[in-house]
Amino acid sequence: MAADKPTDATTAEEMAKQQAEPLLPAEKWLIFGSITLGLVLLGLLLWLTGAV
Amino acid sequence: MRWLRSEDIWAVFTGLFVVLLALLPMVGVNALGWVPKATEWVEPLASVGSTTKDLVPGWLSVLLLFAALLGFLTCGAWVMGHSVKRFAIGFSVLFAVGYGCWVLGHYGYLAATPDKMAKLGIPWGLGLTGEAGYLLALGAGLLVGNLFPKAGEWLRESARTEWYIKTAIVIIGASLGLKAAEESGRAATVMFRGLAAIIEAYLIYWAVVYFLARKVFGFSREWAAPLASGISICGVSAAITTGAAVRARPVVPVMVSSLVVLFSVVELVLLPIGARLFLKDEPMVAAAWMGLAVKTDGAAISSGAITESMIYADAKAIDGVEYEPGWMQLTTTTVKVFIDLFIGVWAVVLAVVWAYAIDRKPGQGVPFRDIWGRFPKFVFGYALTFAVLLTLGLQLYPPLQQAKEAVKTAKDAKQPVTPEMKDAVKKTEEAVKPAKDGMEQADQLRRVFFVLTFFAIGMGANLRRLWAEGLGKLALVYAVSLFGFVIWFGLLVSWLFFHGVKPPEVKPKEPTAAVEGK
Repeated sequence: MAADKPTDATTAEEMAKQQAEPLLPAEKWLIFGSITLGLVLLGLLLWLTGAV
Repeated sequence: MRWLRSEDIWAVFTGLFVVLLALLPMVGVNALGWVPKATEWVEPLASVGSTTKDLVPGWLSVLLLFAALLGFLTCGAWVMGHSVKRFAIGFSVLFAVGYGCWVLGHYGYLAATPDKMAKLGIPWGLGLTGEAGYLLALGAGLLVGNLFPKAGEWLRESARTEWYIKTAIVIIGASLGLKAAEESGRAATVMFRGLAAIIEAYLIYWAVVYFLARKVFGFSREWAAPLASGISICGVSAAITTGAAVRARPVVPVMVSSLVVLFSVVELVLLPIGARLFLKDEPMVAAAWMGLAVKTDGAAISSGAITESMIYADAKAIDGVEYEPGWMQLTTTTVKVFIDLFIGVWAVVLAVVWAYAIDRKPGQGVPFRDIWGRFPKFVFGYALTFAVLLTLGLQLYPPLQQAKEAVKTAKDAKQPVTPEMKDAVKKTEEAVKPAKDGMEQADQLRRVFFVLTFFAIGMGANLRRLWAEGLGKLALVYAVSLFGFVIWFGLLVSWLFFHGVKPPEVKPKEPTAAVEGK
């Protein structure tokens, strides 16, 4: 592990420090692109295995 | 030699060493025949014997195992820079409690399935099989970790969950390789369908959890990416590797990891019970589900083992069907290792997206070195032992299958089984036996590493942390993602890809019987 185990207090402090960050277009692409590709590939694999 | 200071590397060393010793029967050296094997018992003295029957008394085989593990693992702990004294004392306690639980789990009234009750002379048994020992070890670990936190803290030096489970996985690779060679068609089916796990974990789980963490729970990118990997991929390793890829501060994946471990214990207890209740007729669906839904390698592979023992016991007791052991574990392990293998690829994808589209900084590229440093290398150990035993098995099994087929064909055609045919079956069986015996010995050691893992997992799970202030929001997103989506989608995909696929049933020894009958 790269860091010592943080205490609960450190965790709470770190969580509180987070600032609001809007979703960037690249993140949206990553999310929706992944889901679309994933569903297509699952369908393809299902078809290839003959499970449907 | 910094690389030598990693538990990952030592897991590979330990596992490869065991597999190497297990291969020695093939050259006539019974190097692991002394390894203890627990069996269902009512009389305590009959609880343990050596893997090679009557080679050494049971108590001596346990003592030898303790000495061998203590010596080898303490050397590893020393090289890794742990306190040798603390590790050695802690490991002694860990082994005593862990192996004690393992033997206790074989107590007839807990373990015996209906077919074994008569032999043991008992009127009833819970039918949990010897794997009940894992649950006892988990319970003992939870008791120590939560009721005696100081003792738990002290023992933590030796409670190296990752080391023990990764060693077990490297050993599993060997026995599954041989198994896959015996039933190559079925193994290929499991592996091909296992590819679905990679797609599901990386492209669907990750994206959904990341979206939930960012949009619904308002996490920053630095937190959301390791969190998504921790929940969707394989817990600790994935959170840490992703942390490196997106250049999160080291403290972030460490915090996420502590949560992953806690939830994996909850899953480890609940999911096998659910599988036993609802998936008893679909063992491979249950096995794939464990690999897809339970996070951390240790908890996932352990869940596979427990689920197999429960479903196999039920199948035998209720339906009279006896499945070949290990096939559910093959499926869970395949699914989990396939997912693990792609951590590096996914980390590179994330690193590229972060470096060039999300967090663009001048002169900063993809941190390949960091990603490689944090990649779980034990998967190579698994791949190596699997490939070696698969190759070996593919040399040994086809002649045996051909010889048996010749006997069967002759019988079907009502023709005499010639002495040459009998001889061919006998010779090819003898050729396979040393490899099978060696893998059986290695498998006994694998069970010991499993039981140590269960105890260590329990001890590391301080359940009070779930209510701790700092972890509240993290725990909430984890719980919502896991219980609201990951588990159910995992079940759906496991069902779609594995329903109708059954483990092979234990075959009647027809050809041998034919030979003997003549």
